[in-house]
Amino acid sequence: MSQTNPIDEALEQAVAETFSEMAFLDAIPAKKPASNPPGQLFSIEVHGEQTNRLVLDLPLPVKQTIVENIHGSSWEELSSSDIDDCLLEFLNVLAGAFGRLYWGDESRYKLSFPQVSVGPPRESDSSPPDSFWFDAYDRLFAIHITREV
Amino acid sequence: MRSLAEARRILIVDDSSTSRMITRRCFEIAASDSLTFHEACDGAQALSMLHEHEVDLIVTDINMPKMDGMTFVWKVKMNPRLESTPILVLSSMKNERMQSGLVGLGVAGFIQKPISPAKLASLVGDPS
Repeated sequence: MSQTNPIDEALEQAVAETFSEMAFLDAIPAKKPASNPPGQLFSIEVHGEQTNRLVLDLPLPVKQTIVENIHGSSWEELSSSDIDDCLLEFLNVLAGAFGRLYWGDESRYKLSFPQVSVGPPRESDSSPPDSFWFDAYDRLFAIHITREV
Repeated sequence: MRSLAEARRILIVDDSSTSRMITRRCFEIAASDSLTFHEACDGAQALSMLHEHEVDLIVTDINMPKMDGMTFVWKVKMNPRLESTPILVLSSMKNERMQSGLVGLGVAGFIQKPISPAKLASLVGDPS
C-alpha cells in the first residue's frame, strides 16, 4: 500500500522535478528491492520547522547516468572531483525543491552544504530513517530521510 | 547601465563548478552573440575579480562558503563603482522573504535552480 503524507508527496515531486529538469530522466516511486544494491551516499540537511536529513543513495549505474546527462560527457572523461561536485549539486537542487514543496514558498528553510557521506544513514534519537525507493529506467536508487524535531 | 538582455560580460559566482557550467551553457544557448564569462567560487573571490574585470551582469548563488551570496550582493550594492551592475540570484532555495530582501537591495531577478534557458529567457529576454 502506498503512503501519502506531506513528506512522501514533497519528496516524490522533488525527485520527479529534479531528475527531469536537471538530468533529463524520469524517476518514479518503486518498491523496496529484495536486496539493496550497494550505493554511494550523499547527504544534506534541510532546516525548516524541523530538520530533515536527506541521504541520496546512488548505485553506480544511476550515478553514471545522472552525471553523464548533466555534463554531456562520458564518465571516463570526467575527474572524480567533477563527478562528486555534480552529484552534490544535484542533491542541493533536489533538497531545495523538497523544502519548497514541503514547507511552501512563504516559509523559511535553509540548506546545509551537501557532503559525501560514509557509512549507513544516521539514526536520530527520535526516529530511524525512512527509506524511499525510486526507479529511473529500471535502475533503482533510494533516498533516506531522518527527521529531527 | 546596460539592460540584462544586453549583457555580454558575465560573472558567475557559485561554489559548484557544475552549477557554473550549467549557467554558462544556458547563457550560451540563449545568446546569439559571443559572451565572456568570469567565474568565482564564493563572494570573496568574486569581489576580487570585480576589481580586475568590468562586467555587465552578475549571477550569484546564495549558499556559499567564505562569503555567502547575501553578503556579496550587499557589498556590491554598497560599492559606488559596482552598484549599478545588475545582479541575478540563482539559488536552490525558494523563499519569498529572502527574495523580497534581495529585491530591496536592488537585485534584478531570482531564479530557482535548476536554471534552464527558458527560465533565463523569462527574466532576461532575448539577449541577442
